Amino acid sequence: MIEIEDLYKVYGQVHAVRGISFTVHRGEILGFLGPNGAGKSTTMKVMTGLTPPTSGRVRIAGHDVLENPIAVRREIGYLPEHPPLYPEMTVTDYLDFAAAIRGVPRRRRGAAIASAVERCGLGEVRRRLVGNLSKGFRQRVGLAQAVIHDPRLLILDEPTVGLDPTQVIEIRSIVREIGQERTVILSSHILPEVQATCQRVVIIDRGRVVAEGPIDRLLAAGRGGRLFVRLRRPPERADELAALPGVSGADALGDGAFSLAAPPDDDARERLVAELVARGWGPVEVRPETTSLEEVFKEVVTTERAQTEAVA
Amino acid sequence: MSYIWALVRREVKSYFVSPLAYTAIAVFLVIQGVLFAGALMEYNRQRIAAAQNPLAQLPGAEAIVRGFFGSDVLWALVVIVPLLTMRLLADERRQHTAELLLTAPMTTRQLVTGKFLGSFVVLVVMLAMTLWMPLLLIVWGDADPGVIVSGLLGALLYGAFLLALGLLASSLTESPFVAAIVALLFIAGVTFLGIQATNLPVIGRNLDQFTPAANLAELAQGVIDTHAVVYFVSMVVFVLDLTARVVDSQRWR
Repeated sequence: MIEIEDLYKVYGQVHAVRGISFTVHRGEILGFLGPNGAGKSTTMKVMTGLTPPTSGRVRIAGHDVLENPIAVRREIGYLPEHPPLYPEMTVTDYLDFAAAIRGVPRRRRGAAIASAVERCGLGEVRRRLVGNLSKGFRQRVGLAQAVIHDPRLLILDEPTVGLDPTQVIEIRSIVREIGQERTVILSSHILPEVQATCQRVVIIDRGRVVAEGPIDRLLAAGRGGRLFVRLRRPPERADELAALPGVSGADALGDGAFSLAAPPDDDARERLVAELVARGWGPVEVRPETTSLEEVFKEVVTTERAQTEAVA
Repeated sequence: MSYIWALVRREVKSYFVSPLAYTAIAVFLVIQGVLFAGALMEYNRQRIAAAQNPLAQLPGAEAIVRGFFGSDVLWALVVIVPLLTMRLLADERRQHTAELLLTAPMTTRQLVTGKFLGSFVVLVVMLAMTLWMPLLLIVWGDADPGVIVSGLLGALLYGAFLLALGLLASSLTESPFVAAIVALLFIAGVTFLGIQATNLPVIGRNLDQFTPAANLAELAQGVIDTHAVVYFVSMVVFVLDLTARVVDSQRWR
């Protein structure tokens, strides 16, 4: 659905994107992650044809963004960082306008508006002026605008930024629902966001792709298979823990807490806990250490930066 | 075509929900009304003077109509058009709605044309509201309806040219205020430099063909000259094309 090959985008002196390549498959929800200023918005703007690439190729549904911009724009629904709203219009009027300039024929506009209103939960505000709506509702109107013409590809630039937690959950569930039938690419610098909605992520930093893959694999690649244990009467040295059967390493975290490199299967873990009890160390807390995407992200970005600096 | 129509509808609605269109129309009506009343009084004075002098000819009411669509409209539009056009494109960028328009499957020319026609509708409404003034002269005077028709055509064409210039100004900045000032400069420049140019020795007479004021005056005289019509239409097309190019070039930044 999206093919990006060696994309560069230079604004004057600023190299916003420096050689990004990735593809997004049909029907996928892709998370596009990176710290602020990494080049996420710029890449998305190039995908929508809003701004042309400096070099490289971007193809949307087989159409090149430079050669066939109108065909590309027909395929996409786009929610920019700032939702593009006219404060003086009512929600219905606004959506009618959005549908018209997206080429929805007049006789189908009524149905298109009704379905967008319903999907984005705008029923109670549809006669109100956009300018008088709360931030959460405005974001939903922005989302409704992006789906009004039933595009095959949705490009959402930080769809939940600045919303309160309930609104974030609502927007997420709307995105997940929409993503069932369509291709979605969603940018964010907030990781739980992506963890909750996307199957695959691309992480970029300073205009380059630093990691890419299915979320579970990235998580596993982080610090998978470690156990957190807290002991009432810990042994004097962590080595004693590391010598236990099945444990390949142990780090003391202080205050009786340890991080053990233990095998991931349940049988081995059960034996390990029995062992801890048998030795009288008094385990009071044992849990798998979950690696959040946050840690993967931090790790990936810092190692990548260290590498590029070493090369330079 | 349906894209343009959607843009025009939105633009016109948005003019009439904000105080801007009402203010602009009110100011226009006041200026036109004052100038018209002045012309009427001058006309009456001349008639009275003529009545006392058996040798003098009675002046025709057309003179007022000519002044109304010739110089009066010219002055009033110089002031009003920047107010009407300042927000057209500048506001789209300021409130980030430009992204909505620029990612829609239409060409930049369609976008610019839609914006232009939206403001043109307001101009038509505005001029229609002043029509009763010259019509009075037909009902209670001896004015020639033909002069009114050609004068109105002139005012519309000249107004369209100024609107296009205002739209160009609005494409250059994000600030409606700056857009209004730039539009005023463009419009005043084109109008008054044109008038001044005709005073130049030798070439002045030929330059006359190219000034909006002279072409407007020709239509206001009651002559529907294809020269003047072609002049204004091609100027509008040229300036709109320039505007589309400015908008397109901004994509690269």
